[in-house]
Amino acid sequence: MSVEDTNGGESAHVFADATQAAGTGEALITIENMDKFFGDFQALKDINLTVGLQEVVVVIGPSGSGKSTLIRCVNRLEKHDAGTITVDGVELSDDIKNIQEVRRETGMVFQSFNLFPHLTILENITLAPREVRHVPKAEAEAHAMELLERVKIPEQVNKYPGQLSGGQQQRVAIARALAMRPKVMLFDEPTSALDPEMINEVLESMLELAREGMTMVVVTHEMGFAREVADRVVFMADGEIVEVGTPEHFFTNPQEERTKAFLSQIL
Amino acid sequence: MTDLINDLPLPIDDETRRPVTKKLTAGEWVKENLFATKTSGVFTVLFALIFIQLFVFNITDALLQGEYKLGVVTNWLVNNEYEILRVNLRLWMVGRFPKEEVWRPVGAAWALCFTFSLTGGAMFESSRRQAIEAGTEPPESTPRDMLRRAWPMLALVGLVLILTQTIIPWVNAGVALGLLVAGRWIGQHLPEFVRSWAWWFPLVGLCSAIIMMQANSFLPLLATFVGLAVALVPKLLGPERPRLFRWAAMAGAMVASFLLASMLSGPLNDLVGDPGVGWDKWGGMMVNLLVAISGIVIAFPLGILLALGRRGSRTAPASNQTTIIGVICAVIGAIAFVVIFGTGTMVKPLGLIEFPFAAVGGAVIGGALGAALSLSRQSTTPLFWGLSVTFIEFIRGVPLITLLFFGDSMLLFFFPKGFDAPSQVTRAMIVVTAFSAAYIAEIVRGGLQAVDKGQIEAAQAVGLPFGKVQRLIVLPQALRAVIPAMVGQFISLWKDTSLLGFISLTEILKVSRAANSQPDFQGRGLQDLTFMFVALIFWVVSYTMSRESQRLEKKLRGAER
Repeated sequence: MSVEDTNGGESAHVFADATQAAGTGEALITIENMDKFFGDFQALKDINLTVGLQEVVVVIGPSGSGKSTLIRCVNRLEKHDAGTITVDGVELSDDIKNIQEVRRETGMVFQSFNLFPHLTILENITLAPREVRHVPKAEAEAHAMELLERVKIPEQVNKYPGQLSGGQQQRVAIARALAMRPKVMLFDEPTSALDPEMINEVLESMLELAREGMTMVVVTHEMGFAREVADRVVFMADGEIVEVGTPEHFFTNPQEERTKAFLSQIL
Repeated sequence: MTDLINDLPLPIDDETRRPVTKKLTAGEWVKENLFATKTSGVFTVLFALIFIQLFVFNITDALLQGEYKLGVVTNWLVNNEYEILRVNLRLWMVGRFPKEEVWRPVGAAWALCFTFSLTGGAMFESSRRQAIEAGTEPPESTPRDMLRRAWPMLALVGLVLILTQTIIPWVNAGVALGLLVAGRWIGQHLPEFVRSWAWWFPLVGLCSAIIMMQANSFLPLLATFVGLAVALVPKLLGPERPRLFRWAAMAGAMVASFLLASMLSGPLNDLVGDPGVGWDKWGGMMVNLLVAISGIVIAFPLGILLALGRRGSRTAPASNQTTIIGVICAVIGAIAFVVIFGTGTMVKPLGLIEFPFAAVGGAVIGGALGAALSLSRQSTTPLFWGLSVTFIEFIRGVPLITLLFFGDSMLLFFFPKGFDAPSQVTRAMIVVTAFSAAYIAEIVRGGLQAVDKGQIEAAQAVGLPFGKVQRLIVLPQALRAVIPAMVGQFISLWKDTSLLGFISLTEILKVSRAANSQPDFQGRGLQDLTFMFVALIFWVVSYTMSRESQRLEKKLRGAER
């Protein structure tokens, strides 16, 4: 058993069967004893987490608990201060080569979409494959169309981001991240900035992605999504991983007081 | 559509439930727009009187002096002595440029007209086809549109032509116009493969223009140009080659091109045997244009680099990716050197081969800068930052006229002894370019700050390296945001060229003062006419720039919506 949920905090609780990560059992992301500071403020404390290949991990917790910071550390949008982060065998360090290598293998979807407003949808999607992987134009465009079909908005291909609704933009953002054929997708509260009626279309795209076997780390407040799709749920508070478990155990039988308090507030 | 001028309730078309535009009769229009309220009626009458006084009939003179004259402006225009413009027209246009050499600037202008309109046509056609392919509305460009864009320029050219005494300027202008139209047409009908390279045509035009002005700048230009072309070699070699190989190929080819140019320099120089006209002989509107254009074209990339340098201090991860900036620096350095020292002192190191100094200087300086930057890790980024800040703050803290005096008198001390010092015009160009670069840098920095941090993160997250993040994501958005400020800077720079008269260059304002002190015209009170003429020239160019920038803004906004 190579995948192991270790959470260093003594107070943290691990369900017996939660250590058995879903997916193929091969570790894709390994975070060990990771700390992160913003100035004097410690945003993440001694984080230990392993994400297996083809596993879907949902990270939940109150705002300010460090969920976003955690996944932003995975592709080095934030620099961690101690411990190690290894993605697909590459350890993140100051070496820009390693950072680029990790970023090529990780797709990220942001809360505020962050599509490039001066490029068309097609250009948004084909930019990175062409500029980073040097995929020929025709091939990149064919792949982009395929991805747009998958997120069900092929007709928007020649428009600009500003002409699309929030839900459509977020689906384009998913397609853009997928265009690099990443091994893992990171979602940073992908539905938080959306109008309620658009949340489902994005969640559906994510659900489909999970079914296809994509490894995913999702920071979200969508408990329904967590319950349905997650292999494991990670609960964070005050920069620590408080509890890790399968959705079933997590929602029906939480062990930690902080988890119970949080769940009672939102459910 | 709705008629926003009227607050009246609009009749509704029952079929479509849309407001219908009401047709107004002339009387109704006048009442609603000119005499809607008492106040507006008073202003209408007041403005009508002022208009009449200025353009139709001099009311005050009629009332006070009992003299019946045309309106003030009309009268001034009709009863003026245009002889002073006629006689000095050449001075205004080309200064003391030798008469028998005027074919050079004319030819240069032709080359630029043709190549620029060629590119304009090709780019227009490309965007039209793209729009059709994408199923969006294709852009339109009718001769009427072109006329609307170019009328101030055309009017100025027309005025100048009317003032000339010979037929030759008419022919020159006719050929230029013909080339413009032909270039546009040919550009639109080029095969697609050629069209995709259209960006390079103006460079060809520029090079031929420079060569026409001074044939012996051919060699350094060739070196730079070949170097630039070779920069495309890695692209042609295909993406599957390792990066190192591509950079090596590029560097090798550039060095080879410099060597080639250097070796050919001796024989070719003899062959050409045409020294051309030094820039020190430039004058009139040519010198205003030359300095302003260098202050825009050369200063623009320089300003961007300065802005990136100033900002790069803490945000940019220094890395191998800075190579891109390094190479840009090298190319700009080489071009700048060729432009500045184009006439070229020749050097013969170790008595072997004769090198044009410009090619060597450009290669050495550009290469050193590029190497320094490409090797730059964390340690050199603050260096670049410090240099940028120092440069910007020094230049911005000193008035342009002071810098011009500095360039005129002191810049010479910085050049080694026995060295062909750059001409006065060149020195003015250096100063104005530096001045402009500092201001552009601050404008660009403002634009860089306006770009959302999420854009950079998104670009990094998809794996784009630092250079490409800046070039493909940040700069396009930053520059787009600062078009108005940037064009404002360009316009003010264009008008600042009138300061060149203070360092005894014969720019157009200086010419009008000189004309008024000629024996024929001295003391005849013709200053107003000459200054109006100069003002007209400044205005036409400024207004055209302003209009074109608005067009560009609208076009880009249309794309993003």
